[in-house]
Amino acid sequence: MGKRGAVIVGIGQTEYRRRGGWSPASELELAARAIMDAANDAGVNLRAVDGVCSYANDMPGEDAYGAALLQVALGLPMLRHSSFVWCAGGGGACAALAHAVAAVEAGHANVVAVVRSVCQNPDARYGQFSDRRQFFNLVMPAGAYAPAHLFAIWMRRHMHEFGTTEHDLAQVAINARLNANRNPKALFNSKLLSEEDYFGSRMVADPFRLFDCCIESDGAAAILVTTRERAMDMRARPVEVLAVGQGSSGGWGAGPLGSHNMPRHSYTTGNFGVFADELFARAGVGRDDVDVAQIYDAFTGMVLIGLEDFGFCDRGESGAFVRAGNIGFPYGSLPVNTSGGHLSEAYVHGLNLLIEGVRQMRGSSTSQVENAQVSFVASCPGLSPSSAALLGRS
Amino acid sequence: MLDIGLPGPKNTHGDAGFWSACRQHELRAQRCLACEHWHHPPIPMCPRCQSSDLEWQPLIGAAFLFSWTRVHIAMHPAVTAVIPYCIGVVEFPVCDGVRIIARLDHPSDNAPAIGAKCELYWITAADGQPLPAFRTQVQSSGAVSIQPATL
Repeated sequence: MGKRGAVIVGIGQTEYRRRGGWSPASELELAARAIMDAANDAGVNLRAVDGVCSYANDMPGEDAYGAALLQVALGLPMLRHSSFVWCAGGGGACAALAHAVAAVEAGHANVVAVVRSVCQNPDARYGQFSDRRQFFNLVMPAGAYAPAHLFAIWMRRHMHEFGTTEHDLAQVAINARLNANRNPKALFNSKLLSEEDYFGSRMVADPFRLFDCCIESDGAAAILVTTRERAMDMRARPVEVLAVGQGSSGGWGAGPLGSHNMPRHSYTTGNFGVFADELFARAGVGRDDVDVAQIYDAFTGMVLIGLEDFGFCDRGESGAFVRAGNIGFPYGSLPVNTSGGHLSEAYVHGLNLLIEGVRQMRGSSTSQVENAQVSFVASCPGLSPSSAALLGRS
Repeated sequence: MLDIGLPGPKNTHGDAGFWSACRQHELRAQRCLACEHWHHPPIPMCPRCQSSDLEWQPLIGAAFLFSWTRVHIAMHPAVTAVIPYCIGVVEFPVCDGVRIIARLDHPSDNAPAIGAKCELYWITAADGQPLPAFRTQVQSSGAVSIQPATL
């Protein structure tokens, strides 16, 4: 890529706290602070930010932090790009990065922030009954009140078709915790998780136990994207975006968050379809070139299905893949969710995973894969459309 | 005991036809009159031929359990007394594999069997709206009988 090619030059975050821990700070304030942190990390004047991309700002009070409010709060003199990923929930994290890359490479804006902020107040918790109707009007009367219920049904079918077990799910949860134990910024940094602890935790929605579910946390994260040419004047070593984009195979609609009428042949996938092959082709790398992966883990099972969708193992083989120790740090063939992920670091809707993917390319992860050259990040499997990215060391 | 009923649907969405059929104790899904394809959830045009000539028709044929979960934490006061309870996704092969998500009545001491034939019954939401529910049939019957699923 030439001088106009987009690179990642900054990452930022607020402190991650348990749900309510930032009260009374708003999502707007946390989003703004994450962008400030990213600008500081990049060594660029905050006032140079002229684009904002986000996604999945789907809790009540849907304009909690829009680009216009962020512009005012941050005192940005000129806003040249604002975009929001359509209807993709946590599947939109890498897609928002794609928007930023496109805006920068097209010359629409110079320094674009990708941001996500989550404050779960008592009336708006992902893990509790919600009266939101867009997806839920058909499913709530069945007693399906939260994403855990609906993704549990999806995962149960995978277990039925392929023999995936609760022990495989446990491996994903324990792997995330071991990585969080090395990450001082992870909420569960000091809490250990044994297989006995896992199986002793209360069942939420069969097959998901408490430790199959992500943390209820508050916090924000941001990434700054600019051109390679501008990056030369900035402090941080840029990280390459080898390929990034969105993908949804046909007929999914709201998928597992809806009435579960996805096509039978793809029901037990993450709905990425041919996008997976296309992403690798665009990046010009193969699966074997990937050194480390961050796969969206609102629930453990998503990691298993994500591994299959992107071809790190065959379909139905993810259980065997994790049982063989492949996702562990430092000895596995593909260390996964090296910051602790949503299960043990914080739930920032996939943007904290993207930041960790960048850290791995900078060599600054607390579970740093030695000499890592290619980093893979997947947003929420099962949503439509979801997204993914391949990042590279510069 | 608190009289808190199950939360039901609002009739302000594109699925109003589904819920109005339920009020007659009928389970219906949209079917395209141009190409006879069934689809669910409802959408303003046939996903196969893009015709908007759609009709809510009663689902026919046997229904089989496609997947399920058992919920152990009451996230709404209406289910405090019934946890753990099951939710099933039930498939109607004769109707192009349309699936209905609904409460699944199943003994708490064993796991529902995916593939089991299911029968429909009705429960009631707080506002009186009938809601479909299923139970797995204990006796196995090999034949798939074609009859309206309005038992």
